[in-house]
Amino acid sequence: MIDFHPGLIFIFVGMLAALCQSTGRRMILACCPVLALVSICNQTMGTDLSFQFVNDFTLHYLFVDPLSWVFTAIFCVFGVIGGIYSCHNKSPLEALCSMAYVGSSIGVVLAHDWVTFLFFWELEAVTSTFLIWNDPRPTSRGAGLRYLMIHTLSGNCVLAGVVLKLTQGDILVHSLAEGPHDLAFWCFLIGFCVNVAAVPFHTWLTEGYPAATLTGSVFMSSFTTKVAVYSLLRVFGGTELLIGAGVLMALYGALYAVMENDMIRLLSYHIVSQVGYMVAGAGIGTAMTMNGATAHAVSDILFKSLLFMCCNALTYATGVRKINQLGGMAKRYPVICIFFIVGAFSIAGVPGFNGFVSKMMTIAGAEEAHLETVALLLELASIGTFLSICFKMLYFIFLAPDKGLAPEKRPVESNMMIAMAIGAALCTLIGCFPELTLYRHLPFGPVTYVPYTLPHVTNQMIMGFIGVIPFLMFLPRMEPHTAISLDAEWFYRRPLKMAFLGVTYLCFGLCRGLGHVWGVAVNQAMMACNNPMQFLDAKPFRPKKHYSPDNYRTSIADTIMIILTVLFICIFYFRTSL
Amino acid sequence: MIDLVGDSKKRWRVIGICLCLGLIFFAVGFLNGAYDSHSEEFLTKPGAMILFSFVGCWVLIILAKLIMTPLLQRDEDYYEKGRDDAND
Repeated sequence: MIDFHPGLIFIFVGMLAALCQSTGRRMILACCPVLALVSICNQTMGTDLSFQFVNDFTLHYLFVDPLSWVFTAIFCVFGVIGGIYSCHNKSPLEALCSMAYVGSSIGVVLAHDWVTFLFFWELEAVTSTFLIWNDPRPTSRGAGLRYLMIHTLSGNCVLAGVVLKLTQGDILVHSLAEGPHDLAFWCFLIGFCVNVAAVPFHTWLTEGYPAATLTGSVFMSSFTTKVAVYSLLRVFGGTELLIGAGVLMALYGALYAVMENDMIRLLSYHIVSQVGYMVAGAGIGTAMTMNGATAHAVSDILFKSLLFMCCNALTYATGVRKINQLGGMAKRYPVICIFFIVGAFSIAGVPGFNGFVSKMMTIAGAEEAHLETVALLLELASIGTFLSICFKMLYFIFLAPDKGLAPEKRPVESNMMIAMAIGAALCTLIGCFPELTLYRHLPFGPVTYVPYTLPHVTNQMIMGFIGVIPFLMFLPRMEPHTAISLDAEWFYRRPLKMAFLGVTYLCFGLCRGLGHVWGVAVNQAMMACNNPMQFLDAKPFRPKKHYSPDNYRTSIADTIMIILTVLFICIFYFRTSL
Repeated sequence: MIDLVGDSKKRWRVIGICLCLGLIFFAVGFLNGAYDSHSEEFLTKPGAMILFSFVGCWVLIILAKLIMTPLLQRDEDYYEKGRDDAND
């Protein structure tokens, strides 16, 4: 058990769940992921398990250091919560894909060589695609296909980087931030930036997650982007290019979230925004910001999954996804409302919840590194988080009058409530006791940041209470409309699609025209070969309506000519011989 | 449930309460030396967070709701128009 790969435990659990009937599957999904958590808790630092692959190539499939441990541990924790949340599912394929998705994410984190890293990276993309395709809505097919296409781009970039690294003799995963800034560097950077949902590559996330199944999107909210954050911290920590990308992500996601009407799409934009803090932290590259990025990844997995679970539980019960069709949910689902408030306060960084102890660490790290503009812009994105989740979602979904458009279709499953309760408890626990639960496990040196100081607490409270005033003043126009917001996906869903279809039709037309000409030529040649006598005739290609043997007979003149020629030759021969 | 959209009196009461609470937190911080008017960092100056939160929130609202919404929002079936599987 001690040296067993936690990711493989999840994959095995998924296979077992897929083979079992409903009650057995429920038990397996709810209980067995704990084994992976036990496994990672028993791992010792420095463990490096490997086996011989082909041509004496060694695959290091399990490497435990402080960074990989903390990410694996939180993935296992969420694997347990996600297993409980999704155990009522009737689809064996979804059970397999969700558990294999968790397992492959852990596989990436624990991989110590590029080949193992790439294998699990690709497996993660494939398994998550099936979580979208498993949704019966027709729009999910196209969204899943686009999700797969973008992840194919990311996978191919990483593949190219891996091939280049292997040809250079670099087998093990290590930091590339120091250089050289060669082709492999850029291949890995682009591949990781696609998976981390950096703007403008983020549309696979904001389009894919709302199209996934209700339980699938909960899993997806926690893994792909966090695995990419881990990869950036491991390989590109201190790459300054990431600072700008992170700040852009934080603000872009916050702005789009203010406009959104679909609950899951809004939360997806907030994944972009929160991951922006982590990317900026990785880019700054000091111990405090790298620790802040790691801490915020841990917190984000917990509070974002909690928010996804709350919104998907409402959709499960009512069948409604749009904010402007909801309202009054605090009265109908008071317990879900409490869980949502915990998640909202956590993501906004209210003191007492986990977002406060992690997000502020990255911002304080930026100030410490004398990047005050970066710190101010990240604070502005933090106001955007308050605005769209703490104010907009909380008011229009839970506190506003019920519009009567979302009657209850079925009750929320008890396992969903248990999973939300565990998530909310962990958010509060980490927020109240950060040193005991989070800071002691951070990988980039001892944490000097103290979150609960008077300026930090009062500033966050002021941000909340003063920031709500413009929202309330503008409230009559804050309710979202039944509409979609065009984003970077417009470029490949409209002009690029038109160009692709245009080129396709052009090629098809050309092929068809050339094929027709070729077909006529071949047909005529075949006819000529079938009857070579046509070439003796003066009109070989003249169309003939009816068969006539006269067309194929030589004329009488030819016969007379041949007879006369033979006769003259004979007369000439015999006269000369006599 | 709380109807703050239709009942503007109630809305302004809530605004007043939030303003008071914000000012109370500022006063607590100010009286306990949480702020430094000579600091190089903008947000540690007295009152800077109040100004930043208020102006920042307005900036985000104006950008998102008054500029981006009319520019970027379309009907929900914008991409699916003319397709057989438009209705899900």
